[in-house]
Amino acid sequence: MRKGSSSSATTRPARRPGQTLARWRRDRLLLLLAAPGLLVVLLFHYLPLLGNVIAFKGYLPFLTIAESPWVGWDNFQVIFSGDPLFVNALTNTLIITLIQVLFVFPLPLVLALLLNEVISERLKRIVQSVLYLPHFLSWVIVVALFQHILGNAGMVNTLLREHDMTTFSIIGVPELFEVLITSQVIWKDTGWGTIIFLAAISRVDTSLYEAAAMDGAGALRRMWHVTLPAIRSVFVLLLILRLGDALTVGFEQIILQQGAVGATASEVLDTYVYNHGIVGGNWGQAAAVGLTKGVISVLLVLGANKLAHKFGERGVYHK
Amino acid sequence: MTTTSPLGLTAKPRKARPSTSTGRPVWMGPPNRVLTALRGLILTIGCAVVIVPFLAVVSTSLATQEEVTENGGFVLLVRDPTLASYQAILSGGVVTRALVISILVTIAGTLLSLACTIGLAYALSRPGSLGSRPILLAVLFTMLFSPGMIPMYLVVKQLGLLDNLLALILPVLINAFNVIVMREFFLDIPGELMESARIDGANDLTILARIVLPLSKAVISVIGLFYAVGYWNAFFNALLYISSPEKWPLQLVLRTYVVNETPMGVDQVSAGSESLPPQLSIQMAILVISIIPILLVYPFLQKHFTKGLMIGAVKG
Amino acid sequence: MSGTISRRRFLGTTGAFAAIGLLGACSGSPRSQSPSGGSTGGGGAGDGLLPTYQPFDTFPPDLASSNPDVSPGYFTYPDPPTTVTSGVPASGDPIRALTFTFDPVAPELANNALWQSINEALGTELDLEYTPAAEYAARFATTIAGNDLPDLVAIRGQQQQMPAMLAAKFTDLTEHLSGDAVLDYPNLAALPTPSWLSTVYDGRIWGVPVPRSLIGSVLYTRADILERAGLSLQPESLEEFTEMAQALTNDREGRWAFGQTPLSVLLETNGIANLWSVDESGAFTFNATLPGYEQALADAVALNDLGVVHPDGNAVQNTQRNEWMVAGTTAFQIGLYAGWPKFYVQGADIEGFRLTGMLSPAREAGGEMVRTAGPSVSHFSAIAQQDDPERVAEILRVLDWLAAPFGSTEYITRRFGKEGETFTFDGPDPVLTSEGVNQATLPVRYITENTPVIFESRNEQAVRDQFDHQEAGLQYTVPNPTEGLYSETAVSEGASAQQALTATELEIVLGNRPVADWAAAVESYMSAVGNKIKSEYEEAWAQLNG
Repeated sequence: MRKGSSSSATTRPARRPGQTLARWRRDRLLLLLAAPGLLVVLLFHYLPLLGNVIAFKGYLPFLTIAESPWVGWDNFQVIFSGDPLFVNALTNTLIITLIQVLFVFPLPLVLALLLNEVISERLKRIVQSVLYLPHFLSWVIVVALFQHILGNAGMVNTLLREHDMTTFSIIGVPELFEVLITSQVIWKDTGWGTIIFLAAISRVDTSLYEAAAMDGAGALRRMWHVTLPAIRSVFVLLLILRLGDALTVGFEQIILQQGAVGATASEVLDTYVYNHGIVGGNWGQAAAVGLTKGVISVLLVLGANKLAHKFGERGVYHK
Repeated sequence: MTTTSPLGLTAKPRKARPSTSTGRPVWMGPPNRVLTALRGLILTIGCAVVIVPFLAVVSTSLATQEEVTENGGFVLLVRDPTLASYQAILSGGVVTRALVISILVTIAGTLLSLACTIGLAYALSRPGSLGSRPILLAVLFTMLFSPGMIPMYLVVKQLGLLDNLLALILPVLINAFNVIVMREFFLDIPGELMESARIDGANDLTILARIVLPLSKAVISVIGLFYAVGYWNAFFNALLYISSPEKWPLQLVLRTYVVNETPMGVDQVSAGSESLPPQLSIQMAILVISIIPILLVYPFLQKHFTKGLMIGAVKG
Repeated sequence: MSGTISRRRFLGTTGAFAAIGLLGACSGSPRSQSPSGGSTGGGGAGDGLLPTYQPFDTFPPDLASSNPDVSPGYFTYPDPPTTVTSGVPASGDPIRALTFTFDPVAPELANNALWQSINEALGTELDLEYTPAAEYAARFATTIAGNDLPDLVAIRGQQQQMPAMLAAKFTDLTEHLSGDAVLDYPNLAALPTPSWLSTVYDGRIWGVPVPRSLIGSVLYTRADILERAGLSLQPESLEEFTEMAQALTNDREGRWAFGQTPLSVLLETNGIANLWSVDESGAFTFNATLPGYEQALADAVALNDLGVVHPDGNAVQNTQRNEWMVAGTTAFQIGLYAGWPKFYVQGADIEGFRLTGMLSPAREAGGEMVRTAGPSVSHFSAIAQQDDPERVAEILRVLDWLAAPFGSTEYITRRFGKEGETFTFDGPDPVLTSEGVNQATLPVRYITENTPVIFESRNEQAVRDQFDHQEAGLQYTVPNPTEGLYSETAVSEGASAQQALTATELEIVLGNRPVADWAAAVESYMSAVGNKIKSEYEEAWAQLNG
């Protein structure tokens, strides 16, 4: 299947000077199809993106952007000042990202593979419908549910206490904060994450399974040799895009729970920027941090994409 | 193109696949007992871990103040259920109208988004097409750099979209993540299929309509769902762009019931009127009301991506 | 996915650490309340500038105090209600207003008889736009940036360069409201003096306040639970308070004294009221530098160690703590005074439910008691830049109508709408019908409203309990000296420095860091911003007090 895309690449010759007009004529339908989407991207992403110039200005809403005074790199101070609180927030962010990329990111794939092996179509759909429900709860509710069930005075601990058994603490323990928020993310979004993999698996030609079965492949080997290759490219693509978000970890989820463990354990980049600048109404600083994060994300995505090419993967875009 | 047999199997119209009486395709062979048991166990635990809290959500939405007080919060199994919270929310007609607005915005937005996303993803998936690489990067970068709230507001204002429901759709019409994922799926469609069509004289539009779209039901359903859920859950743009509360979508209206500690303008109620439903019940009822419509859509889309697709059916 | 965008937007709009002491509650951040008030009679702050205070004596209350800060208590609505304005305040152009709400969305004008009767009384259309209170800051910022202001805009908290922002976008109301000029608008003249201080910047009046009682934060007490346990409703010392907390706690039965570490109470116990204090000469002190503050932190840690605080107390939202107190899981809850009436609704089905307010005891029996002043306003409404003085006067007449006192017919129209349709009379008391309950959520009261009063229809005990708490508590209230003062540093760099200090405070209270770390944190706050804020306040104080 995958060879298809590369073979068709040969039918569209690489760019040669003087051929732009001919290519224009050939591709005008394609460009026409892309035009509405492109227009939206220009109008509602790139045009307002010009407003990020306030990263270099002392902008306040009652001034126009043009009226606001230039302040040079002042707004970037928050990132490059070397404040130990900032370093702590950055460290926490990277640890959480690492944990989530390693343990949370692959889970939807595993779950999708498990679901794929369920023979009854009806059962498969029911299970999937149940598992994707938590995605629709807001973080406020998820946090409240976790507290109510797993809290120190929650349902489980109350039950244990009533039966004179040892109780446990996971909420309000700084050392376990990462465990707590990771399990919340798993609970909330694993089922939802399977959707995209199920779509990828659904493209597998069933005749390939038949062929594999005839070669004597068991369930595990069929999964390894037929299912996985079909979704590998999607998996790699999502991984690259996830890396682009490496500096962003659940702002709302975390800020709701900082009160229980304190900032040392729970401060991440976004909460730091919020607590140390945006509360003061510093719009320029918010833009500065956004820009910096954007630049780092670009580097991460481009780097990850290069790496993917080295492993013979397609990545987000071709070499 | 494909139909679902009563046994839950995917079958080509032309020839039904042979299957065993258990609904398992013959080629699968007998299942490994240990693996099956393990799989069953994992999925059962997974479902239980989700269902118990959800039971608490639904039960609490049906609980009286007395029961909420007794449990000190969430109620796992409601003793004498009451619809008082739902009545409190739905009376006055504000929520019902917001529901209609949300449904309209979600349907119109999802269709428009899908159309634009398919067009963009398809153009970007045709290898070597004019400008595809810079356009792809431009789309990708919108994921990594986000415009600020105020510049975005000024653009919407300049375009005259304030207090217009289009302001809830146009700014979020294209989501880069969705474009890139859809393109990825388009790329995996066998090139020889398109080549043979081209030789038969089909242009890019015909190829899209006759080959790409029919083979992409799964990804279109998924991306459609992503967009729909995005439109359904959005409230922040409405907060900024829609000044008339009577045009607010459901999520923003419901938000006014939960963001504060005073439910239902409670100090306006004088003694003599009935006591109000507990705030936690109202919150949970709001949750249920806001989730149900989007849950109803799911089964219709789900069938497209939990079921094997026959590429062979197109190949012939 | 789309989450990326909303998450980043979220940055500008939602809350941070739960503030448990004074720090968060009094920060100058855009999300916090405006600075809180001094005493009505207090000092000569702003003499000659502030509007003349002329309260109504038309509606004698059932409970009255000699302390002008204590709200009057009413057992029934004054009978018969009196009309206090004459004629129709407006004619012609609709008046657009932007504010926020804590209530659900109200039905639109066509389906809202209450709104229609307000418009009828006003003689024009009141075109009301609003957002949920939690998101108002975002709407406010974009509205200002878009430069398309409605006639009236709610100004909530202090923003960077507030004086310049007000001068650039709003109308200076000094000549209309200062001194005796306000007497043209008798209902505005009846608003308490401290509430006007929050509308003053650069020596000019920029709006009309939404006044609040100075009683501020209340240690809500389940009197019925304490009485059953044979405990006094007012402990005399920290020791008695602590013993009481232990007596109320039984973790095996799932009962605790507090839903959260009561740091704000312990601060008052140690003599700390407000974040700043001022002496006769106008020298300001940052109260976190006082030994009492550190002692309060040590007391808080000790109280936590006794296990009298709910073990999940710091992990939950405040709504959950409210539920706990109503359920009797905890006996106390700390919250703003404005939330008092809602507990009666939540506790309506509970046998013997009685709510009182407890004063923070002095550390030693017989010692000096102090109390932090509550914010004198919720916020104020400013008039967008308007050159036509007649239009300004018209808008002020509308505001005057909206501020009509408790006891007037205007008040009944504003809060209850149309008799027979949205409310009925139960004896002298207006009571909303079930339709009225929905329509009354229209947030006109967040444009401006009358001076607060205590009124619970057919619940004399509740009126008494609230009145008694105000009467007992307000005598100890220390005026907040930063009231009516503006410090640019406090609302810009100061806000983030204060956030860092709050974070340290939280770590200490949670037991993650030793109390000994406090002094260094305060010192670094002072050298970073504190000393600058201090001198800015001192300068502003000198200006205001001549």
